[in-house]
Amino acid sequence: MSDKDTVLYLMERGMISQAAGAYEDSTHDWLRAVQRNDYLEAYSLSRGAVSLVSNDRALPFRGAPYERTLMRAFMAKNFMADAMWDDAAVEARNVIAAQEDLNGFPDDAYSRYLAGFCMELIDDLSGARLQYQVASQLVDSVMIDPSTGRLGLPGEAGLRIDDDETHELICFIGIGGSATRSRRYGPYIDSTMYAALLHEGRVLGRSYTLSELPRLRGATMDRLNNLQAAKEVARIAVKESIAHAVDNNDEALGELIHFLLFAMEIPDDRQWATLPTLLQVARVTCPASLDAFTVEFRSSRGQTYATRTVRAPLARRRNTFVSFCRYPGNAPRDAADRSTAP
Amino acid sequence: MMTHRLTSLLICIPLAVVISGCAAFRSSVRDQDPDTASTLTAKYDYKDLRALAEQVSSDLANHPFLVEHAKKHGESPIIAPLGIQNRTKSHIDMQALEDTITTPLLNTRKVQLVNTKRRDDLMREQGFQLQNVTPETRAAIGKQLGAAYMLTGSLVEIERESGREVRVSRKQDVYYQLTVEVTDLETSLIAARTQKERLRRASKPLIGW
Repeated sequence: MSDKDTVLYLMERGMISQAAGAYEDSTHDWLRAVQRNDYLEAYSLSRGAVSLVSNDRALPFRGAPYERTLMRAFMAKNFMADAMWDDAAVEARNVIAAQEDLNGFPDDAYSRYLAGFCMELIDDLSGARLQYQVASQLVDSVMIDPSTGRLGLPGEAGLRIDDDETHELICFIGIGGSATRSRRYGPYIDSTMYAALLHEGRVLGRSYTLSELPRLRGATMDRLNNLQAAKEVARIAVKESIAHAVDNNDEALGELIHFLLFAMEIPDDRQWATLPTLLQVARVTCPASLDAFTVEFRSSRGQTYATRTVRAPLARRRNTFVSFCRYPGNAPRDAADRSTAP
Repeated sequence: MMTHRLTSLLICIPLAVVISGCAAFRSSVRDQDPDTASTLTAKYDYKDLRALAEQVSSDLANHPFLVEHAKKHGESPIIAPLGIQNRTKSHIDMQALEDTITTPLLNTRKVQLVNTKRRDDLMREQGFQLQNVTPETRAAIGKQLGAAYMLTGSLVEIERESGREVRVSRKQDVYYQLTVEVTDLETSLIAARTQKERLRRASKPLIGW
Protein backbone atom coordinates (compact mmCIF):
# COMPACT_ATOMS: atom_id res chain seq x y z
CA MET A 1 0.00 0.00 0.00
CA SER A 2 1.47 3.32 -1.00
CA ASP A 3 1.45 6.25 1.37
CA LYS A 4 -1.00 8.17 -0.84
CA ASP A 5 -3.65 5.46 -0.47
CA THR A 6 -3.48 5.22 3.34
CA VAL A 7 -6.92 6.75 3.87
CA LEU A 8 -8.52 4.41 1.36
CA TYR A 9 -6.83 1.39 2.92
CA LEU A 10 -8.01 2.38 6.40
CA MET A 11 -11.56 2.98 5.16
CA GLU A 12 -11.71 -0.46 3.56
CA ARG A 13 -10.12 -2.25 6.49
CA GLY A 14 -12.41 -0.47 8.91
CA MET A 15 -15.45 -1.66 6.97
CA ILE A 16 -14.18 -5.24 6.91
CA SER A 17 -13.53 -5.13 10.66
CA GLN A 18 -17.05 -3.83 11.25
CA ALA A 19 -18.54 -6.62 9.15
CA ALA A 20 -16.52 -9.11 11.23
CA GLY A 21 -17.87 -7.63 14.47
CA ALA A 22 -14.51 -6.15 15.53
CA TYR A 23 -15.97 -2.72 16.27
CA GLU A 24 -13.01 -1.41 18.26
CA ASP A 25 -10.54 -2.27 15.49
CA SER A 26 -12.87 -0.73 12.94
CA THR A 27 -13.16 2.49 14.95
CA HIS A 28 -9.41 2.61 15.43
CA ASP A 29 -8.85 2.43 11.66
CA TRP A 30 -11.44 5.05 10.88
CA LEU A 31 -10.12 7.44 13.51
CA ARG A 32 -6.69 7.04 11.97
CA ALA A 33 -8.22 7.81 8.58
CA VAL A 34 -9.76 10.98 10.04
CA GLN A 35 -6.43 12.06 11.49
CA ARG A 36 -4.67 11.35 8.23
CA ASN A 37 -7.29 13.35 6.37
CA ASP A 38 -6.77 16.32 8.70
CA TYR A 39 -3.06 16.15 7.96
CA LEU A 40 -3.75 16.02 4.21
CA GLU A 41 -5.95 19.10 4.31
CA ALA A 42 -2.93 21.23 3.45
CA TYR A 43 -2.35 21.11 -0.31
CA SER A 44 1.07 19.62 -1.05
CA LEU A 45 2.95 21.64 -3.67
CA SER A 46 5.28 18.79 -4.51
CA ARG A 47 2.49 16.30 -5.06
CA GLY A 48 0.45 18.90 -6.87
CA ALA A 49 3.34 19.50 -9.25
CA VAL A 50 3.63 15.77 -9.92
CA SER A 51 -0.10 15.48 -10.58
CA LEU A 52 0.14 18.35 -13.07
CA VAL A 53 2.47 16.33 -15.29
CA SER A 54 0.95 12.89 -14.63
CA ASN A 55 -2.59 12.49 -13.27
CA ASP A 56 -4.64 12.99 -10.11
CA ARG A 57 -3.73 9.52 -8.85
CA ALA A 58 -0.44 11.09 -7.71
CA LEU A 59 -2.40 13.01 -5.11
CA PRO A 60 -3.16 11.35 -1.78
CA PHE A 61 -6.65 9.87 -1.59
CA ARG A 62 -8.85 11.81 0.81
CA GLY A 63 -12.23 10.39 -0.13
CA ALA A 64 -15.19 12.19 -1.59
CA PRO A 65 -17.18 14.34 0.86
CA TYR A 66 -19.97 11.73 1.02
CA GLU A 67 -17.39 9.00 1.77
CA ARG A 68 -15.90 11.02 4.62
CA THR A 69 -19.37 11.67 6.02
CA LEU A 70 -20.41 8.02 5.72
CA MET A 71 -17.23 6.98 7.51
CA ARG A 72 -18.36 9.06 10.48
CA ALA A 73 -21.85 7.59 10.23
CA PHE A 74 -20.52 4.04 10.15
CA MET A 75 -18.25 4.83 13.08
CA ALA A 76 -21.33 5.92 15.01
CA LYS A 77 -22.77 2.45 14.35
CA ASN A 78 -19.66 0.91 15.92
CA PHE A 79 -20.25 2.89 19.08
CA MET A 80 -23.94 2.05 19.11
CA ALA A 81 -23.09 -1.65 18.80
CA ASP A 82 -21.12 -1.31 22.05
CA ALA A 83 -23.85 0.82 23.68
CA MET A 84 -21.50 3.84 23.81
CA TRP A 85 -24.23 6.37 23.15
CA ASP A 86 -22.24 9.51 23.98
CA ASP A 87 -19.47 8.50 21.61
CA ALA A 88 -22.02 7.75 18.90
CA ALA A 89 -23.36 11.26 19.45
CA VAL A 90 -19.82 12.64 19.02
CA GLU A 91 -19.72 11.10 15.55
CA ALA A 92 -23.23 12.37 14.86
CA ARG A 93 -22.01 15.91 15.56
CA ASN A 94 -19.15 15.35 13.16
CA VAL A 95 -21.64 14.20 10.50
CA ILE A 96 -23.72 17.32 11.06
CA ALA A 97 -20.65 19.58 10.95
CA ALA A 98 -19.51 17.94 7.69
CA GLN A 99 -22.90 18.60 6.10
CA GLU A 100 -22.82 22.29 7.04
CA ASP A 101 -20.32 23.25 4.38
CA LEU A 102 -20.92 20.99 1.38
CA ASN A 103 -19.78 23.47 -1.24
CA GLY A 104 -22.15 22.05 -3.87
CA PHE A 105 -21.51 18.39 -3.07
CA PRO A 106 -24.54 16.17 -2.39
CA ASP A 107 -26.17 15.89 1.02
CA ASP A 108 -26.84 12.40 2.34
CA ALA A 109 -30.18 11.47 3.89
CA TYR A 110 -28.92 8.25 5.50
CA SER A 111 -26.15 10.02 7.42
CA ARG A 112 -28.59 12.74 8.44
CA TYR A 113 -31.07 10.19 9.74
CA LEU A 114 -28.39 8.27 11.61
CA ALA A 115 -27.07 11.49 13.16
CA GLY A 116 -30.61 12.43 14.21
CA PHE A 117 -31.09 9.01 15.75
CA CYS A 118 -27.86 9.32 17.75
CA MET A 119 -29.10 12.67 19.04
CA GLU A 120 -32.41 11.08 19.97
CA LEU A 121 -30.64 8.42 22.00
CA ILE A 122 -28.95 11.06 24.18
CA ASP A 123 -32.26 12.90 24.60
CA ASP A 124 -31.36 15.81 22.30
CA LEU A 125 -34.81 15.70 20.74
CA SER A 126 -34.63 19.09 19.04
CA GLY A 127 -31.35 18.12 17.41
CA ALA A 128 -32.87 14.83 16.31
CA ARG A 129 -35.94 16.51 14.91
CA LEU A 130 -33.84 18.88 12.82
CA GLN A 131 -31.86 16.04 11.25
CA TYR A 132 -34.98 13.96 10.58
CA GLN A 133 -36.53 16.99 8.90
CA VAL A 134 -33.52 17.53 6.63
CA ALA A 135 -33.38 13.81 5.81
CA SER A 136 -37.07 13.88 4.92
CA GLN A 137 -36.50 16.79 2.51
CA LEU A 138 -33.66 14.91 0.79
CA VAL A 139 -35.71 11.80 0.01
CA ASP A 140 -38.86 11.85 -2.16
CA SER A 141 -39.67 8.16 -1.94
CA VAL A 142 -39.80 7.90 1.86
CA MET A 143 -41.76 9.83 4.47
CA ILE A 144 -40.03 10.59 7.78
CA ASP A 145 -41.92 11.95 10.75
CA PRO A 146 -39.55 14.58 12.23
CA SER A 147 -40.94 14.26 15.74
CA THR A 148 -40.69 10.47 16.03
CA GLY A 149 -38.25 9.45 13.30
CA ARG A 150 -40.72 6.86 12.01
CA LEU A 151 -40.53 6.01 8.31
CA GLY A 152 -43.16 5.13 5.75
CA LEU A 153 -44.15 5.46 2.13
CA PRO A 154 -45.64 8.72 0.81
CA GLY A 155 -49.41 8.63 0.72
CA GLU A 156 -49.73 6.30 3.68
CA ALA A 157 -52.41 7.64 6.02
CA GLY A 158 -50.15 8.38 8.97
CA LEU A 159 -47.19 6.25 9.93
CA ARG A 160 -48.45 2.98 11.35
CA ILE A 161 -47.96 2.50 15.08
CA ASP A 162 -48.61 -0.75 16.91
CA ASP A 163 -50.03 0.43 20.23
CA ASP A 164 -49.46 -2.97 21.87
CA GLU A 165 -45.72 -2.66 21.61
CA THR A 166 -43.84 -0.16 23.76
CA HIS A 167 -40.41 -0.93 22.37
CA GLU A 168 -38.79 -0.03 19.08
CA LEU A 169 -36.14 -1.70 16.96
CA ILE A 170 -34.06 0.49 14.65
CA CYS A 171 -31.99 -1.48 12.18
CA PHE A 172 -29.55 0.13 9.73
CA ILE A 173 -29.38 -1.99 6.59
CA GLY A 174 -26.72 -2.03 3.89
CA ILE A 175 -27.36 -3.81 0.59
CA GLY A 176 -24.81 -4.56 -2.10
CA GLY A 177 -21.30 -3.28 -2.78
CA SER A 178 -20.19 -0.15 -4.65
CA ALA A 179 -21.42 0.71 -8.13
CA THR A 180 -18.09 -0.43 -9.61
CA ARG A 181 -18.41 -3.86 -8.06
CA SER A 182 -21.94 -4.37 -9.24
CA ARG A 183 -20.79 -3.50 -12.75
CA ARG A 184 -17.80 -5.85 -12.56
CA TYR A 185 -19.61 -8.83 -11.09
CA GLY A 186 -22.51 -8.84 -13.50
CA PRO A 187 -25.88 -8.91 -11.70
CA TYR A 188 -27.06 -5.47 -10.70
CA ILE A 189 -28.51 -4.43 -7.41
CA ASP A 190 -32.30 -4.40 -7.45
CA SER A 191 -32.85 -0.81 -6.36
CA THR A 192 -36.32 -1.68 -5.03
CA MET A 193 -34.93 -4.39 -2.71
CA TYR A 194 -35.82 -3.99 0.95
CA ALA A 195 -35.42 -5.83 4.22
CA ALA A 196 -38.39 -7.25 6.08
CA LEU A 197 -37.85 -7.67 9.82
CA LEU A 198 -39.51 -10.63 11.53
CA HIS A 199 -39.71 -11.92 15.07
CA GLU A 200 -40.95 -15.46 15.73
CA GLY A 201 -42.58 -15.58 12.31
CA ARG A 202 -44.38 -12.25 12.68
CA VAL A 203 -43.48 -9.39 10.35
CA LEU A 204 -42.50 -6.36 12.43
CA GLY A 205 -41.98 -4.02 9.49
CA ARG A 206 -39.64 -3.18 6.64
CA SER A 207 -36.71 -0.98 5.69
CA TYR A 208 -36.68 2.08 3.42
CA THR A 209 -33.89 3.36 1.20
CA LEU A 210 -32.56 6.73 2.30
CA SER A 211 -29.41 6.92 0.16
CA GLU A 212 -28.18 5.22 -2.99
CA LEU A 213 -24.47 5.23 -3.58
CA PRO A 214 -24.61 5.58 -7.40
CA ARG A 215 -26.63 8.79 -7.03
CA LEU A 216 -24.23 10.20 -4.43
CA ARG A 217 -21.28 9.28 -6.58
CA GLY A 218 -22.83 10.70 -9.74
CA ALA A 219 -23.64 14.03 -8.11
CA THR A 220 -20.12 14.16 -6.65
CA MET A 221 -18.53 13.49 -10.03
CA ASP A 222 -20.61 16.24 -11.63
CA ARG A 223 -19.45 18.70 -8.99
CA LEU A 224 -15.81 17.58 -9.25
CA ASN A 225 -15.89 17.91 -13.04
CA ASN A 226 -17.03 21.50 -12.67
CA LEU A 227 -14.32 22.28 -10.11
CA GLN A 228 -11.49 20.54 -11.91
CA ALA A 229 -12.18 21.58 -15.48
CA ALA A 230 -9.63 24.37 -15.23
CA LYS A 231 -7.03 22.04 -13.73
CA GLU A 232 -7.58 19.52 -16.54
CA VAL A 233 -6.99 22.25 -19.13
CA ALA A 234 -3.86 23.40 -17.30
CA ARG A 235 -2.51 19.85 -17.11
CA ILE A 236 -3.00 19.31 -20.82
CA ALA A 237 -1.34 22.64 -21.56
CA VAL A 238 1.66 21.76 -19.36
CA LYS A 239 2.06 18.38 -21.03
CA GLU A 240 1.79 19.89 -24.46
CA SER A 241 4.42 22.50 -23.54
CA ILE A 242 6.84 19.89 -22.22
CA ALA A 243 6.40 17.66 -25.27
CA HIS A 244 6.74 20.66 -27.60
CA ALA A 245 9.94 21.85 -25.85
CA VAL A 246 11.56 18.42 -26.27
CA ASP A 247 10.22 18.15 -29.81
CA ASN A 248 12.12 21.32 -30.81
CA ASN A 249 15.42 19.56 -30.05
CA ASP A 250 14.57 16.00 -31.04
CA GLU A 251 11.41 15.17 -32.97
CA ALA A 252 11.42 11.46 -32.24
CA LEU A 253 12.02 11.99 -28.53
CA GLY A 254 9.37 14.69 -28.51
CA GLU A 255 6.85 12.27 -29.97
CA LEU A 256 7.80 9.67 -27.36
CA ILE A 257 7.47 12.17 -24.49
CA HIS A 258 4.11 13.29 -25.89
CA PHE A 259 2.92 9.69 -25.99
CA LEU A 260 4.14 8.91 -22.46
CA LEU A 261 2.70 12.06 -20.89
CA PHE A 262 -0.72 11.50 -22.41
CA ALA A 263 -0.63 7.76 -21.69
CA MET A 264 -0.46 8.76 -18.01
CA GLU A 265 -3.71 10.67 -18.43
CA ILE A 266 -5.88 8.18 -16.55
CA PRO A 267 -8.83 9.17 -14.39
CA ASP A 268 -8.65 8.92 -10.64
CA ASP A 269 -11.36 6.33 -10.03
CA ARG A 270 -10.28 5.41 -6.52
CA GLN A 271 -13.32 4.99 -4.30
CA TRP A 272 -14.40 3.26 -1.13
CA ALA A 273 -15.42 -0.05 -2.70
CA THR A 274 -16.88 -1.78 0.36
CA LEU A 275 -19.61 0.84 0.93
CA PRO A 276 -23.09 -0.62 0.41
CA THR A 277 -25.00 0.43 -2.69
CA LEU A 278 -28.31 0.90 -0.89
CA LEU A 279 -28.37 2.49 2.57
CA GLN A 280 -31.64 1.73 4.34
CA VAL A 281 -33.25 2.14 7.73
CA ALA A 282 -35.97 0.06 9.35
CA ARG A 283 -37.79 1.43 12.40
CA VAL A 284 -40.36 -0.99 13.78
CA THR A 285 -42.09 -1.76 17.05
CA CYS A 286 -40.98 -4.94 18.76
CA PRO A 287 -41.48 -6.98 21.94
CA ALA A 288 -39.61 -5.95 25.09
CA SER A 289 -37.96 -9.37 25.26
CA LEU A 290 -36.30 -9.12 21.85
CA ASP A 291 -33.02 -11.03 21.77
CA ALA A 292 -32.86 -11.90 18.08
CA PHE A 293 -34.76 -11.16 14.90
CA THR A 294 -34.81 -12.32 11.31
CA VAL A 295 -34.10 -10.17 8.26
CA GLU A 296 -35.48 -11.24 4.88
CA PHE A 297 -34.10 -9.40 1.88
CA ARG A 298 -36.94 -9.16 -0.61
CA SER A 299 -37.72 -7.72 -4.02
CA SER A 300 -40.55 -5.23 -4.45
CA ARG A 301 -42.77 -8.15 -5.48
CA GLY A 302 -42.05 -10.01 -2.26
CA GLN A 303 -39.55 -12.55 -3.62
CA THR A 304 -37.03 -13.43 -0.88
CA TYR A 305 -33.36 -13.31 -1.94
CA ALA A 306 -31.73 -14.08 1.38
CA THR A 307 -32.46 -14.50 5.07
CA ARG A 308 -30.31 -13.54 8.05
CA THR A 309 -30.86 -14.12 11.76
CA VAL A 310 -29.44 -11.23 13.77
CA ARG A 311 -28.39 -11.78 17.38
CA ALA A 312 -25.57 -9.23 17.36
CA PRO A 313 -25.14 -6.39 17.29
CA LEU A 314 -28.28 -5.77 19.32
CA ALA A 315 -27.76 -2.93 21.77
CA ARG A 316 -30.48 -1.57 24.01
CA ARG A 317 -31.12 1.83 25.48
CA ARG A 318 -34.29 2.02 27.57
CA ASN A 319 -37.11 1.05 25.17
CA THR A 320 -35.00 1.18 22.03
CA PHE A 321 -33.09 -1.66 20.40
CA VAL A 322 -30.39 -0.79 17.86
CA SER A 323 -28.88 -3.10 15.30
CA PHE A 324 -27.43 -3.16 11.83
CA CYS A 325 -26.88 -5.76 9.18
CA ARG A 326 -25.73 -6.09 5.63
CA TYR A 327 -26.55 -8.12 2.56
CA PRO A 328 -23.54 -7.96 0.23
CA GLY A 329 -24.91 -10.22 -2.52
CA ASN A 330 -26.65 -9.05 -5.68
CA ALA A 331 -30.21 -9.82 -6.70
CA PRO A 332 -30.64 -12.72 -9.17
CA ARG A 333 -31.08 -11.41 -12.72
CA ASP A 334 -34.71 -11.29 -13.77
CA ALA A 335 -36.07 -9.68 -16.94
CA ALA A 336 -38.84 -7.98 -14.99
CA ASP A 337 -36.54 -6.60 -12.28
CA ARG A 338 -35.55 -2.96 -12.48
CA SER A 339 -31.82 -2.51 -11.96
CA THR A 340 -29.58 0.26 -10.72
CA ALA A 341 -27.63 1.71 -13.62
CA PRO A 342 -23.97 1.86 -12.50
CA MET B 1 44.16 14.43 -7.25
CA MET B 2 45.50 14.82 -3.71
CA THR B 3 44.01 18.29 -3.47
CA HIS B 4 40.66 16.98 -4.70
CA ARG B 5 40.60 14.22 -2.08
CA LEU B 6 41.63 16.63 0.63
CA THR B 7 38.92 19.08 -0.35
CA SER B 8 36.30 16.31 -0.32
CA LEU B 9 37.40 15.20 3.14
CA LEU B 10 37.38 18.77 4.43
CA ILE B 11 33.80 19.12 3.27
CA CYS B 12 32.50 15.68 4.24
CA ILE B 13 33.91 15.40 7.75
CA PRO B 14 32.47 18.65 9.12
CA LEU B 15 29.21 17.92 7.34
CA ALA B 16 29.03 14.51 8.97
CA VAL B 17 29.75 16.04 12.35
CA VAL B 18 27.11 18.70 11.88
CA ILE B 19 24.46 16.26 10.71
CA SER B 20 25.14 13.74 13.46
CA GLY B 21 25.15 16.49 16.05
CA CYS B 22 22.14 18.39 14.73
CA ALA B 23 19.13 17.84 16.97
CA ALA B 24 16.70 17.96 14.06
CA PHE B 25 18.11 14.70 12.79
CA ARG B 26 17.93 12.87 16.08
CA SER B 27 14.90 11.60 17.96
CA SER B 28 14.76 12.82 21.53
CA VAL B 29 12.48 12.54 24.51
CA ARG B 30 12.39 15.21 27.22
CA ASP B 31 10.26 15.75 30.27
CA GLN B 32 8.09 18.84 30.06
CA ASP B 33 6.53 20.85 32.82
CA PRO B 34 2.77 20.61 32.24
CA ASP B 35 2.37 24.10 33.69
CA THR B 36 4.66 25.79 31.20
CA ALA B 37 4.74 23.57 28.10
CA SER B 38 3.11 25.17 25.05
CA THR B 39 0.04 23.66 23.46
CA LEU B 40 0.07 21.94 20.08
CA THR B 41 -3.60 22.01 19.16
CA ALA B 42 -6.72 24.14 19.41
CA LYS B 43 -8.66 21.04 20.42
CA TYR B 44 -9.12 19.68 23.94
CA ASP B 45 -5.79 18.60 25.45
CA TYR B 46 -4.14 17.96 28.82
CA LYS B 47 -3.92 21.71 29.54
CA ASP B 48 -7.71 21.95 29.29
CA LEU B 49 -8.15 18.91 31.49
CA ARG B 50 -6.01 20.48 34.20
CA ALA B 51 -7.17 24.08 33.90
CA LEU B 52 -10.92 23.46 33.62
CA ALA B 53 -10.93 20.82 36.35
CA GLU B 54 -8.88 22.99 38.70
CA GLN B 55 -11.20 25.97 38.25
CA VAL B 56 -14.33 23.87 38.76
CA SER B 57 -13.09 22.05 41.83
CA SER B 58 -11.90 25.32 43.35
CA ASP B 59 -15.33 26.90 42.77
CA LEU B 60 -17.15 23.95 44.28
CA ALA B 61 -14.80 23.71 47.27
CA ASN B 62 -15.54 27.34 48.12
CA HIS B 63 -19.24 27.28 47.36
CA PRO B 64 -21.55 28.43 50.20
CA PHE B 65 -23.75 25.29 49.95
CA LEU B 66 -20.98 23.22 51.62
CA VAL B 67 -20.99 25.48 54.66
CA GLU B 68 -24.80 25.60 54.76
CA HIS B 69 -25.06 21.82 54.60
CA ALA B 70 -22.41 21.33 57.30
CA LYS B 71 -24.20 23.80 59.56
CA LYS B 72 -27.56 22.13 59.05
CA HIS B 73 -26.47 18.48 59.23
CA GLY B 74 -23.28 18.64 61.26
CA GLU B 75 -21.16 16.90 58.64
CA SER B 76 -19.82 17.46 55.14
CA PRO B 77 -22.25 16.57 52.32
CA ILE B 78 -22.10 13.18 50.63
CA ILE B 79 -22.03 13.54 46.86
CA ALA B 80 -22.46 10.91 44.14
CA PRO B 81 -20.52 11.81 40.96
CA LEU B 82 -22.71 10.57 38.12
CA GLY B 83 -20.68 11.56 35.11
CA ILE B 84 -20.01 14.49 32.85
CA GLN B 85 -21.64 14.32 29.45
CA ASN B 86 -19.49 14.72 26.34
CA ARG B 87 -21.28 17.11 23.96
CA THR B 88 -18.26 17.80 21.78
CA LYS B 89 -17.00 16.48 18.44
CA SER B 90 -14.03 14.68 19.98
CA HIS B 91 -13.81 11.41 21.91
CA ILE B 92 -12.73 12.79 25.27
CA ASP B 93 -12.08 10.74 28.37
CA MET B 94 -14.85 12.21 30.55
CA GLN B 95 -14.01 9.90 33.43
CA ALA B 96 -10.56 11.50 33.58
CA LEU B 97 -12.18 14.94 33.67
CA GLU B 98 -14.51 13.91 36.47
CA ASP B 99 -11.64 12.37 38.44
CA THR B 100 -9.54 15.51 38.02
CA ILE B 101 -12.42 17.58 39.42
CA THR B 102 -13.35 15.29 42.32
CA THR B 103 -9.85 14.40 43.56
CA PRO B 104 -8.87 17.85 44.88
CA LEU B 105 -12.45 18.32 46.09
CA LEU B 106 -12.21 15.14 48.14
CA ASN B 107 -8.83 16.16 49.50
CA THR B 108 -10.25 19.37 50.94
CA ARG B 109 -12.34 17.17 53.32
CA LYS B 110 -15.24 19.53 52.71
CA VAL B 111 -17.16 16.81 50.83
CA GLN B 112 -17.54 13.04 50.98
CA LEU B 113 -17.87 11.08 47.73
CA VAL B 114 -19.54 7.74 47.12
CA ASN B 115 -17.83 5.49 44.61
CA THR B 116 -20.57 5.17 41.99
CA LYS B 117 -18.29 3.68 39.31
CA ARG B 118 -17.25 0.72 41.44
CA ARG B 119 -20.62 -0.32 42.80
CA ASP B 120 -20.61 -3.63 40.93
CA ASP B 121 -17.11 -4.44 42.21
CA LEU B 122 -18.16 -3.44 45.70
CA MET B 123 -21.21 -5.70 45.66
CA ARG B 124 -19.17 -8.55 44.23
CA GLU B 125 -16.55 -8.19 46.96
CA GLN B 126 -19.19 -8.01 49.66
CA GLY B 127 -20.82 -11.14 48.27
CA PHE B 128 -17.48 -12.91 48.26
CA GLN B 129 -16.77 -11.85 51.84
CA LEU B 130 -20.20 -13.03 52.96
CA GLN B 131 -19.40 -16.53 51.72
CA ASN B 132 -15.71 -16.82 52.38
CA VAL B 133 -14.48 -14.38 55.00
CA THR B 134 -14.51 -14.72 58.79
CA PRO B 135 -17.34 -12.84 60.53
CA GLU B 136 -14.89 -10.71 62.47
CA THR B 137 -13.15 -9.37 59.42
CA ARG B 138 -15.92 -9.23 56.81
CA ALA B 139 -17.42 -5.91 55.75
CA ALA B 140 -20.99 -5.51 56.94
CA ILE B 141 -23.71 -5.57 54.30
CA GLY B 142 -26.23 -2.76 54.06
CA LYS B 143 -24.01 -0.12 55.63
CA GLN B 144 -23.40 1.99 52.55
CA LEU B 145 -24.11 5.66 53.01
CA GLY B 146 -26.62 7.37 50.79
CA ALA B 147 -25.65 10.44 48.87
CA ALA B 148 -27.45 13.70 49.51
CA TYR B 149 -26.35 15.25 46.24
CA MET B 150 -25.35 14.20 42.76
CA LEU B 151 -22.60 15.81 40.71
CA THR B 152 -23.19 15.99 36.97
CA GLY B 153 -22.12 18.18 34.13
CA SER B 154 -21.49 18.58 30.43
CA LEU B 155 -18.69 19.72 28.15
CA VAL B 156 -19.78 21.62 25.06
CA GLU B 157 -17.67 22.50 22.03
CA ILE B 158 -18.25 25.20 19.46
CA GLU B 159 -15.89 25.30 16.52
CA ARG B 160 -15.71 27.87 13.78
CA GLU B 161 -13.40 28.20 10.82
CA SER B 162 -12.74 31.16 8.58
CA GLY B 163 -14.84 31.07 5.40
CA ARG B 164 -13.89 30.18 1.87
CA GLU B 165 -11.58 32.79 0.40
CA VAL B 166 -8.24 33.02 -1.36
CA ARG B 167 -5.63 32.71 1.38
CA VAL B 168 -2.66 30.60 2.42
CA SER B 169 -3.86 29.67 5.90
CA ARG B 170 -7.15 29.03 7.62
CA LYS B 171 -8.06 30.20 11.10
CA GLN B 172 -9.95 27.93 13.45
CA ASP B 173 -11.56 29.00 16.73
CA VAL B 174 -12.36 26.23 19.20
CA TYR B 175 -14.42 27.13 22.26
CA TYR B 176 -15.15 24.80 25.16
CA GLN B 177 -17.61 25.37 27.99
CA LEU B 178 -17.68 23.05 31.00
CA THR B 179 -20.76 23.19 33.20
CA VAL B 180 -20.81 21.25 36.47
CA GLU B 181 -23.71 21.22 38.91
CA VAL B 182 -24.56 19.70 42.25
CA THR B 183 -28.20 18.69 42.65
CA ASP B 184 -30.04 17.87 45.87
CA LEU B 185 -31.32 14.30 45.48
CA GLU B 186 -34.33 14.91 47.73
CA THR B 187 -35.63 18.20 46.46
CA SER B 188 -34.06 18.14 42.94
CA LEU B 189 -32.93 21.71 43.56
CA ILE B 190 -29.58 22.70 42.09
CA ALA B 191 -27.40 23.46 45.09
CA ALA B 192 -24.42 24.70 43.11
CA ARG B 193 -23.49 25.27 39.50
CA THR B 194 -20.27 26.47 37.98
CA GLN B 195 -19.34 27.16 34.40
CA LYS B 196 -15.84 27.50 32.94
CA GLU B 197 -14.81 28.24 29.38
CA ARG B 198 -11.85 28.62 27.12
CA LEU B 199 -11.25 29.75 23.55
CA ARG B 200 -8.24 28.90 21.44
CA ARG B 201 -7.39 30.03 17.91
CA ALA B 202 -5.28 27.96 15.55
CA SER B 203 -3.93 28.89 12.16
CA LYS B 204 -3.51 26.00 9.75
CA PRO B 205 -1.58 26.31 6.47
CA LEU B 206 -3.51 25.43 3.35
CA ILE B 207 -0.38 24.90 1.31
CA GLY B 208 2.62 22.83 2.27
CA TRP B 209 5.56 21.19 0.64
